[in-house]
Amino acid sequence: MGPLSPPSPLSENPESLDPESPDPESPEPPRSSQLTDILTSLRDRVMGVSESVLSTVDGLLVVADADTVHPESVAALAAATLGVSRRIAEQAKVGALREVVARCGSGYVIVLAVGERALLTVMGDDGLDLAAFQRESPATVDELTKVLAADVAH
Amino acid sequence: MSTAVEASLARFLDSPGVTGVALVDAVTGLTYGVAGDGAEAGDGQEASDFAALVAERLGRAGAEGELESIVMTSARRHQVLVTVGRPAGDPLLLTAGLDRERANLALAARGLGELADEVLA
Amino acid sequence: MRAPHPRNLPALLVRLHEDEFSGTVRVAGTPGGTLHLRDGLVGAVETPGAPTAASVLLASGRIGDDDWLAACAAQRDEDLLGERLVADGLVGAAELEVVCTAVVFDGAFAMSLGALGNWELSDREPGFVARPGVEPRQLTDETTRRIARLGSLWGPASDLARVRPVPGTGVVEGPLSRRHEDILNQVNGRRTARDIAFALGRGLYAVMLDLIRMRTLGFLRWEVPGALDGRPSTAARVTPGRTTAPGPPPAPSRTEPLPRRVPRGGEKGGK
Repeated sequence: MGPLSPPSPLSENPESLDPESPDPESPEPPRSSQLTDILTSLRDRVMGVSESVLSTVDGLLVVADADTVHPESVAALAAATLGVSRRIAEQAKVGALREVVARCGSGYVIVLAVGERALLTVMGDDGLDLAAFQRESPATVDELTKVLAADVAH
Repeated sequence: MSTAVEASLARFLDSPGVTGVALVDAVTGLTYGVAGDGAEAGDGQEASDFAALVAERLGRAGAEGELESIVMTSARRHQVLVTVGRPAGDPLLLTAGLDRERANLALAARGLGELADEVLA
Repeated sequence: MRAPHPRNLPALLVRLHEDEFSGTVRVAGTPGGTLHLRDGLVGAVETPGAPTAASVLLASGRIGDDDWLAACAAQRDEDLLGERLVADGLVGAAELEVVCTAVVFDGAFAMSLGALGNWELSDREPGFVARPGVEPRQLTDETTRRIARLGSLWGPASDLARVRPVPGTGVVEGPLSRRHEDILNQVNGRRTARDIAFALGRGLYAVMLDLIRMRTLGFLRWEVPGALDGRPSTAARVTPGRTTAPGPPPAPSRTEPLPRRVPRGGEKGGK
């Protein structure tokens, strides 16, 4: 595994799964197509990436490059996953959480922090090119972070 | 070194008149193993192409179910293609060359068909 | 001592065959892969480009997940896992050999579709290997034959690897076989032949052949995406994020559309 350093560890409490909680920014165009393109590009560049979902740390969907999953559900579960994983990382005293990789019977689910306010969930099949993913995902996270930052700035 | 496929195929050579037999991938044409005379068994790619063509034509002509076998006969020999049953995965073909002088086609075709289902055991 | 460096992967494998090498060859590239050799023969190829024997057995449903995990727990040396599966009655010896042999050829074919970089040899690592394995020259010849065959049926295999077919809209010919139906259920404009192969637990080359045939019969259609140069542009797509997007727009370097190839009638007979 290459050295992965997401822009920053999550600093907020990501436990809220309540979809009613106020959304900090409206995740609608003009930038959503830009974000979707970044997700599509990740799928093009890494063999085995099949779908991805970008969500807020409190579990709301921003955009998705989805095929079979229900993006809203993935968004909510991603927040819970990263929250619990951060706590177990703390408990185990193994440093700040970088990403969560769930290896399953016929594929992978990977959750990454995107800046302090967003999460990226990537679903891959059994043949997912993990090496390529480790190589490409920092750039993807970086691009997403920039677009999201501009989102807040206006 | 004899492989499991080759060992399994060797049984077919006991049938009268069978000169060569091969196990072939019906989609890719890859030959997985040969027993007896490989040239007599025939080329895997040609066998799979031919079986696919026949199956498609039969389907278009309204035949139901999968292709079971094809027998081609020339002056001196028979060439038999038998579909091999498989629990999962792409279909396989058993291709066999038979000497017309020695083989009873009806018996041989039936024997091959029966053994074909055990070839993967 | 012979020439210090084989000039390419096939040459390396021939050398390792002569030396009856048992060990691992890691090949960098996109996607690259790992080859497991036993006594000079290629027993397994692991690459993101094509399903392994384990993927095939599990994804096709031939072996259940629980049985698989139990066999893995009972046999710690993965080299002997196959024998364990046969002993447990989960798969026949000849059937397993067919699966393991098929994926060696398929993995080598998949690796040949991408760029290959440097390689690195290391000691034997346990692998789910075909016994006895495939002779390197046979592997190279078959890979060459496959690329030539796809070339004559449709076009460049590396282009075919990037197409994302969609269901056809026109008139189709004849009934749909079960195998073709399974593919049709996977086809949605997002998945490549490789993705479909993984989803169904089938070989990449076999899926490509089926895609070509299904296109000829009118069940599928696709457009060849433009050259990507490894990293596609993230510029806005015409229909961003919609699953119907056939692919990125052609790269500007390309001045003319890619020719659409019509499979030659040949032995397949056509209509």
